[in-house]
Amino acid sequence: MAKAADVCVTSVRDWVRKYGNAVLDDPTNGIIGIGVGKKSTGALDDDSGFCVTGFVQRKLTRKQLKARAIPEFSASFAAVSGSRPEQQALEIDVVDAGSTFSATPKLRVDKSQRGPYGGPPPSVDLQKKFEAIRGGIGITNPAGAYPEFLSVGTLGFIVCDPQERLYLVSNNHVIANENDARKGNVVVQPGTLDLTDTELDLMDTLARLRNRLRIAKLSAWVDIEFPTAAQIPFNEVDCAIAEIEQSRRSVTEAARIGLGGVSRGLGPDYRIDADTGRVAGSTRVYKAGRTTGWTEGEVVALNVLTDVEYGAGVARFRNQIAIKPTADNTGPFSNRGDSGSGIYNETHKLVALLFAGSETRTLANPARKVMSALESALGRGRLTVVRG
Amino acid sequence: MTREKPKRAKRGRARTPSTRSADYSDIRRALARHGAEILKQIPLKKVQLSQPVDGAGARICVSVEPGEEQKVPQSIVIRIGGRNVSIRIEALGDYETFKAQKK
Repeated sequence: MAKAADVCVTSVRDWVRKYGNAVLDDPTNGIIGIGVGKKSTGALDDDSGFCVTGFVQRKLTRKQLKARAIPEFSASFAAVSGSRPEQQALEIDVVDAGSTFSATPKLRVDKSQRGPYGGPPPSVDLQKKFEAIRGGIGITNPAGAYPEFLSVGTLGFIVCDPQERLYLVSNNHVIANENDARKGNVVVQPGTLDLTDTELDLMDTLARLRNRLRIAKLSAWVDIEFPTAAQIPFNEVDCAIAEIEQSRRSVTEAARIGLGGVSRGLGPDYRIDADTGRVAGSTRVYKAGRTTGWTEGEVVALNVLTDVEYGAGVARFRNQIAIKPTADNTGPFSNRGDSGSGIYNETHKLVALLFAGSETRTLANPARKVMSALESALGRGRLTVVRG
Repeated sequence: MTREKPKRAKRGRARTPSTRSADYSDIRRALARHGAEILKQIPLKKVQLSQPVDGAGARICVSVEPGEEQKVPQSIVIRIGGRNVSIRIEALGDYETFKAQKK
């Protein structure tokens, strides 16, 4: 025997199927949608009875309805089905939808913005805890700062050594704290700046934080050299590497770039054609970073020499890549918190490691320089970028 | 009536007969290996050097603070591979401070 609630939902569903169109076809009643709901407006599995729910852009009082000559929902109900709800043993409710229903933005994606190897551009939600680690998500080395100070940068990309150990790569200033870290320091994901109040309460000491959120141990880094009284040294990379503790999180998505496509391995260096003065190949680049998510940029200058501000002082860099957002990008190519992002070319090959930015430009280390510098610093043989 | 073309003041070093003009490869080499030498010839503190990728001629772009462009020489000479090479300089008033992007 059917339960009372089953009978009720069937009656409501049948009514909606039979008369729903007619209600929506009447332009005078203000109903923009109709369906099966709960009189409680709660979840469909709560204990209350089912009802015919009419959606309106804005709920009005009886007086306002009368003043605007809009029929009440019960009258519309009766007009299309011949009798009022109570005479049909049905209940009705009107729900304020706030606006008309429209297709969710980004349901349609411009083909030019779609990576050749992945899905549509991801949403900016790279700040949460990920069960499967990947490039583009928030990380930090909390040693010496937590819980007094919170921080976050980005996990750039994942590499493996000849023994098939996996490592994450980011900036020195993200996971080696501008030369101030120790080998074996724990890298946590998400960054401490992205923890909720409840999480901060739960992990109120560095030990508790490490215990719950560690994903890797700092293995090596390339020192950032700051000026001395005697000289201003040139830096070429801001990078560090940490061995992933595979027992802590899944590595099945290690080749993925944020929530989008996948890495296709290490790309070539940018070279300027000796005859034309232009870059051979495309200058279009993409990155997924903790703050600005998936962005699109254009390489505008190579071999850049500039000073960069750090917490510990100003360091001079040379041989850097300068990037500006494309006209299609809605904001900057990067922002604070994106440090450490891997930058990919049109075929999703890694070309650079993001580390600094100004008002309008982003600065990145050439990826091949990063790889060779990390191979030297780590001393475990050739490193390979994990690819999908 | 003849009109005399106004002479443009040369602020950079004069080219000597043994000096050649830089090509795109020289620009890359100069920025990669002779940064300190180039900076010495630009009498400003806030300077960024770069190689543009627009194909509009072999040159170094020098970004300085707005209004300081006139202090940048139009060309510099450095020694590459045992020869003096003259490098064209394009001064831009678009200097911006770069900051490490960790939060």
